[in-house]
Amino acid sequence: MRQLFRNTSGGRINRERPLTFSFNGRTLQGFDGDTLASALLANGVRTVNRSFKYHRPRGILAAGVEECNALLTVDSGNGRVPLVRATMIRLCEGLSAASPSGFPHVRFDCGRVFDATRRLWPAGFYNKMFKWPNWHVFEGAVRRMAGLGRVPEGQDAMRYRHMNAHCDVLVVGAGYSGLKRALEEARSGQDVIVAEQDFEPGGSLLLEKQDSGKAAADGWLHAVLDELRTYPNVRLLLEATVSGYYDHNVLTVHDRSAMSNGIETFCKIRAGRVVLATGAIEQPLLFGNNDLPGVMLAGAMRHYAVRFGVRCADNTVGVVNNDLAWGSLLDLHDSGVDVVAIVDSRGEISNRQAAAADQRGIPVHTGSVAVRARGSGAVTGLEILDSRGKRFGIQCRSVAMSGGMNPTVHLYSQAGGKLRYDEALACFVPAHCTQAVEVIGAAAGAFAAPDDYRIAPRTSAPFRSNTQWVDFLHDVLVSDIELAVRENYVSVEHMKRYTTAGMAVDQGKTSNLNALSVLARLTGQDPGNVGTTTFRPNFMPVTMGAIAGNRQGGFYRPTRHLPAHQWHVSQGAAFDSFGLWKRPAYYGVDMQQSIRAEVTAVRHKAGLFDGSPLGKIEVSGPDAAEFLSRVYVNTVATLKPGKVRYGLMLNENGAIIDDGVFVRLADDHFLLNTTSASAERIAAWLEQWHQCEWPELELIMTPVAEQWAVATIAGPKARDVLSTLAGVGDLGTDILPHMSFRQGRLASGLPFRLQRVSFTGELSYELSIPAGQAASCFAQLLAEGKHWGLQPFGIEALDVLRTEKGFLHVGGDTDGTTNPYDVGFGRIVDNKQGDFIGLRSLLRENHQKASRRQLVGIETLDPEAPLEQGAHVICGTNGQRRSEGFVTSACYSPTVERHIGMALIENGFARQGEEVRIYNMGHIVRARIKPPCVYDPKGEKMHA
Amino acid sequence: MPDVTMKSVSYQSMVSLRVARSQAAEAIGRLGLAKPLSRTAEELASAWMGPAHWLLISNPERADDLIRRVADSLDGLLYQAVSSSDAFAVTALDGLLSRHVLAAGCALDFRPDNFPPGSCHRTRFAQVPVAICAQHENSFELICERSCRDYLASWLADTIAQTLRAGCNAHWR
Repeated sequence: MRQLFRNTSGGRINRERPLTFSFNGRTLQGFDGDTLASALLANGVRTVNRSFKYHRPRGILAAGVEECNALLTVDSGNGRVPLVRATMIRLCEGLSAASPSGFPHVRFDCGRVFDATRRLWPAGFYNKMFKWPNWHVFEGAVRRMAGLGRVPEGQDAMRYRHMNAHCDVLVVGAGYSGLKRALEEARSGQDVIVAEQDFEPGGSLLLEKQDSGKAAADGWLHAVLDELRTYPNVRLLLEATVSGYYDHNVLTVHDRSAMSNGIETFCKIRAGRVVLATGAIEQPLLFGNNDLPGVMLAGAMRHYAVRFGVRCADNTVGVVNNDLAWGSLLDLHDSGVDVVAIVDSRGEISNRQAAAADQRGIPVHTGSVAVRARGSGAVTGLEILDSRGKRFGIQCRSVAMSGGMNPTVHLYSQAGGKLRYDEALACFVPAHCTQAVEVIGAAAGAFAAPDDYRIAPRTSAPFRSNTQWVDFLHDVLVSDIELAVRENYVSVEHMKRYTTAGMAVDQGKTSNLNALSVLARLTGQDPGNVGTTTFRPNFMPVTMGAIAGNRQGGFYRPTRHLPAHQWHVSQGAAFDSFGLWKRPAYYGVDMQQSIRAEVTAVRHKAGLFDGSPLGKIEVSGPDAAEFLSRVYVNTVATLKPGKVRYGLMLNENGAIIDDGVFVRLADDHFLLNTTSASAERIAAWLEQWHQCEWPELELIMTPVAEQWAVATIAGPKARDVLSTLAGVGDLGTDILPHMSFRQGRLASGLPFRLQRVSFTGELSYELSIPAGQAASCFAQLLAEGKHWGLQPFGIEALDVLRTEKGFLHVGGDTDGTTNPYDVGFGRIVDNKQGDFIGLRSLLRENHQKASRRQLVGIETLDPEAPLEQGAHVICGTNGQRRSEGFVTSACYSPTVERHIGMALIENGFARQGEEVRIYNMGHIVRARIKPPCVYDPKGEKMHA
Repeated sequence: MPDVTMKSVSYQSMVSLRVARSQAAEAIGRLGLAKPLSRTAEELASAWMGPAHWLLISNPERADDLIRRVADSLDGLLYQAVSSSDAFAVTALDGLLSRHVLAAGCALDFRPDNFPPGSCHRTRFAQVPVAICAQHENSFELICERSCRDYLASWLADTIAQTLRAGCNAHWR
């Protein structure tokens, strides 16, 4: 378990705290403060993964967000998570990591056969397969092999939460520039949030090696952090990646800082201003086999050496084209990695650089380029072409390459910011943006003092282009871009989609610039003219769970409970969801048996139903009657105070949207009932009509549904049951006939509202009492009513009862096209005086056609044959069959002891008695069209 | 004291008061009703629920008495005052982390300067309609519809647990 590649001293790790972890089943050791990547390198692990398409061995390339090879499946104790960048996860005790690819093993992969035959699988080969011979030949195999890991199955042990935050200034990146700016803003009293993806703030300050530089950097860092901590208006988020930048300065942050506690946070930040101090990403160079394990970014090798005390290899060759990389190579050499040569494509280097190399005895080859890396599983040497055209090889265990820096402009681009190609820096820098965003430091192209950064143009090596990798993650080669250009995909957007360069989950952090450079060279353009593709959220992959937050299980959507919920539980209710409501579907264990018993009780004795979710809206004011007359199809003016009337609401298209009764409490005061499902929607609908269309009408409305619980008592014994409530008053039919209303106080002092209406066809009362008293009132009614055979009934029984009566269920028996004529309410429309919503549409010819689907009753010829809602009524013979309607309600009626239903059937009214065929659950069922009502058609029961 | 606690609160009476838009100013003058986005703790406590819409909250008084008092004051105006004592459920959230818990449920700005005591906002909180009132520096009341009470209570309990688990402290970190 020795960490052979760990220096004996140095680094910002805690050597007192060794941590044990495993990789592909091997037990390894690292230290607290390591990333998974640095710990793997310390143990000499070279091959960490297999490439996406050609299954080539891949090692760690980078040290930060740009890592595109070490995307591993990691379990930190809360389940396996795929696609985790080893460079971004802090090592913890017991962590287990695995390579997602490689069969049988990542070190020996049979898939390598695709590498040997890769001429057969160039870019777009599958697009061509769509044309010829047939994509499906390969589909199965490709789908099995493709992918970057497996989606975990089962319950996720990790918890996720959402947060929202606001600030005056959001600083993205806690490097030198970011911290400096944060401090300035904090001092001037601004509310500041600093978000840093690393678990340690400091950025490049953490990479100062062990000498005066480190002391100065650490001193500055500590002073700044200490001062920042004193400000209550500063929040520093670590391990928090800003993943998306949206309109109005809304940014999303994926906060992984509490992962060890098993929780991730997804936060939306609304910032007054945004300062992007996101730094820059070092770019790879293009030469043969530049994807071999051991070929790494020079800055990354320095990162591992200085910050973690890890030598990525014993020796290396530096291949560079810019000044910044020299600093990395010299630091690397001083940290114990023997730099055996520096190959610089520029013709000249500065005297200082020459002296530094000389002092360390490093040979320098100027005007030279790398041709190809040697080795099969890992680097064993490097072939170089020098300025005089001579090729020679150098033995080495790794290659430290640097193709210059590219600002991390992803978020800026997401914000709508435009980029500009900077010739001198050979990269894209921020140009302008309409949002309140500022880019500072390396992200703005300020990598170094102006004269200290010179860079040679990026070219690909004079070597076989089908061995030079542009996009490591999607396995895109220089030859793929050549092919794209040959096939005329010369626009950058076309090239990107054809080759898939830059389309991988790393969004081309190390490939876009090289791909553009190659495209520019092949098409003879300036890189600036080639342009860039668009960066889209997310900057880094975000766990799906974090996006969902806690909106799962019981919090997926809200649940509404009836006021007497617990009482229903105690009665053995089986609950079902109706909209957001949990309502008793039936009481008991056996559904069918319970429904029949409940229906029978209501028909012969009495039943108690909880109708509390019923929408209730109070409308008052001098124009209340006029308003209602406009929103209901029914006539309102003739309704007397204390009386109840059935009402139908339409939308502008004449389609039925709701029904229910309304009560005239006083001349200028009404109480509207809406269906339970539409309580909120109708309240909003009425407000909209009043506020937007008829503000001149003087009225006020208040939804009061939640205030009043509703106990519906229905059945021949309903009057007897209700009479047991002292103070409810005389219930005689001459005093309180069907469709009338009363309000007052019970003897207990409880206010009540009572309307005699019926949705069951029986004598029925709807008693409203304050919701807080619902449970005791239900209990009292049931106790007193036992004597009369009262028993609670649920929604299922109610549905049977109203289907027997042929009563309309809006939303069930109607769809978005059903008008009042279709359901037999044409007379109400014809008798109505004055205008109402939907009238104009009803006058259209199409709304009055006899061929429309009309609501009729149906019964199966075989009384035992069940029907399903949604079954189609079909006409015509085989081959010419067509639907002429469908079943909208269906149930077994214990009252008439057969299956009955209702259906919307073309020209149904005129077809009474006709036999129809219904395609029901795969079989043809014969049925007859009947009047909808099969129980007490004269209504004597409910008027009793 | 724990960093955040929650408990159910009951008031003797709540009355929903809506006034015709054109007469709202007059009503505010006569009853001393709360300004937009705020809640008063005067003798007649009122929480602003929307334009020309308030929730009157009273502890000693019964809803009927409150409605009568409103009727006396607003004589001649077009208004509607209905008892809502049973329609709404009130939950109190107290403690240093209460602003964290609130920020998990909606996008309002809960920074103390922007949501000082006396604020009252209606919003969609944890997917349900809620009015959030700041009572004191770190104590809040959430007014939700009665039917959402159980859901909201379990949502808050879960969010409190997750907030503590995420290691939040009073400075939002």
